[in-house]
Amino acid sequence: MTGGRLTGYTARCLHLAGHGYVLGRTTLDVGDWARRCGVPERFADRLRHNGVETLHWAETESLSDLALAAAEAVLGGSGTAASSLDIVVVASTLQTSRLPAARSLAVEIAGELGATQALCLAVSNMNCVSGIGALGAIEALFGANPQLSTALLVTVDRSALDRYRAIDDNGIMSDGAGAILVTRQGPGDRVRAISILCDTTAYRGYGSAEEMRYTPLYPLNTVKTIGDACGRAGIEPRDLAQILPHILNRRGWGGVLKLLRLPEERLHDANFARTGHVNCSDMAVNLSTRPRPPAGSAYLLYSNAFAGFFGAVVAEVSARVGTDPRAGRP
Amino acid sequence: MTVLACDVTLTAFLHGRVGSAPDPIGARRADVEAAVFDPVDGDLKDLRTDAVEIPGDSGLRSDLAAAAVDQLAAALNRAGHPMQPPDVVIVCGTGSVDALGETVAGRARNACNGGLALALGNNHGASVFEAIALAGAFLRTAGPGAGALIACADAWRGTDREGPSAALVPADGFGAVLLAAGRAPGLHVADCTSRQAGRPGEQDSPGTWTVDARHGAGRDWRTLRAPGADLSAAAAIVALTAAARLGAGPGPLDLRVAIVGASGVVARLRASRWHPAAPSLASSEALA
Repeated sequence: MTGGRLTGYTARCLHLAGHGYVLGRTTLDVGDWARRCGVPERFADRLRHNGVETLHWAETESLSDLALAAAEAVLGGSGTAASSLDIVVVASTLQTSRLPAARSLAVEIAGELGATQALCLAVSNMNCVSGIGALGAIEALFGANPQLSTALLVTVDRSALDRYRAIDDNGIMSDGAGAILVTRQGPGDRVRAISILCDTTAYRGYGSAEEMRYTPLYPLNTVKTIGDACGRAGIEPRDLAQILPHILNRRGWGGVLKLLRLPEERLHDANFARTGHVNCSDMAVNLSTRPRPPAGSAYLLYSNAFAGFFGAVVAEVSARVGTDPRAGRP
Repeated sequence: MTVLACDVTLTAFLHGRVGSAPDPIGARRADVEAAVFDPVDGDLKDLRTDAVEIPGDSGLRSDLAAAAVDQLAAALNRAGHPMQPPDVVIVCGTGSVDALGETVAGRARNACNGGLALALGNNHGASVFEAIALAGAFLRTAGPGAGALIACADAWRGTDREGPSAALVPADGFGAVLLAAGRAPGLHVADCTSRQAGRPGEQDSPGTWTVDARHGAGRDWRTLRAPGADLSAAAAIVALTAAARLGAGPGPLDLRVAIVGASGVVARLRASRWHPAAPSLASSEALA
């Protein structure tokens, strides 16, 4: 039995007009990571068994470096002038992915880009669902303010402690940033629905071993949230041509697909081994690396997070690509 | 400069200071002030509670945010108007860098059985005003009768406390404000502007707020100013509470409330008191 309250929106004015990402420059095999951190090799084997092979480490790059690189790649790739941005939103998973007061990453990124007129916001504390929460915020702000039409969502995370990158054997956190250009009119894939479930019965204390554990609550709430988003978009889960998952727990996704009665090949799973879990930036990583489904088909962006957040976005592949800058530094 | 439509009414306000500077860390008690607009007669009831016990470790933002929600619910109960679970819960904070990873927004949401939980930050005191605009945008989608709650909590640590400005030593504090969609007895907020006015950390007095108020159809504005209000994000709610207290009775009251965030953002609200006895007179549009 799952609990919590679902909040959802039938999106009216969001298009994903461009996307890109960067990863930490240093690539480590999970075995190398385990040895560096004094983690038993058998734990690395458990990670490999769940599809994990490498992680990306921002050894020398700062949060700002990562965020700015992703943002510049997307603006450059789409030919969008930073001065035309109405909103810059930064979303992050980790508490350590924030700058100490009085600094503001959103303000700094907007300043570096030259987005002098942009409203600068940060959405956090929803952990890996912060990016989807930020999309919901952009949708709401666009809906209430007709003069706003262009937003840049920047997602960024950098782990502070290498040893704590693993989330049990579900996956491993990579450092990186993503950026998604969101426009009112397009071009780009139209967002049709956003659903967020907050079920705090899932919360069992941050950082505890128990919190890392994948419990039945996760797949059940995942299916519930995806079902809600599909319902708002006027489709059935079986209509989803592609699932872009949070890049965690490949085995668990197998179970979710069974519950949704979807074939395995609908899951874009290439990044489990290649990039690792880039926290909030999984959305941008997946958008930038997926095989593109046929125009007009629906696909899913999904993430869930510690502390009971579950988020799903249903979007529709546009006939015309906005930008696909493939700004990755994989 | 960004002008954001709000169209929400602020109906209840609460702020609290934990312990007392310069040694508030670990304090488990707080002085709390609340003000609640009566949804029927439109009058403001002031409520004050001394030395409220803060459950939990009290150094955590999540404890403070939950305390803000609990205390606001208690104030509404005392006023005879129990809080309904809000559709949207937005949490803001300034002194968040040292917080543990627990989701403050989730805790606040849990405390009031609310709907969507979101945390909005980085513009410090100004974030609360921006959260009002964001809540208004969400409530517009949710429709009439919908409600939102904004909570803020700041728990500073060590040298972080010296961060925003040498001129300011922020205290640990918390606050909450309840919002109704559209017009209701309370302070109706028409819009919010947010402008980057300087570089982060360069403000002489982050948290400084001003309330300009104009009663009746006259042209004279009265200004209240609090330099360097020291409750971090909750300073914004102190300002809103001060605005709510201005004036008496159903006469028109036009308000401009501004706050300087430590990130260099200045946010301004354009508001008016909406009173059931004279709703048309009190509209901001009529006076602007």
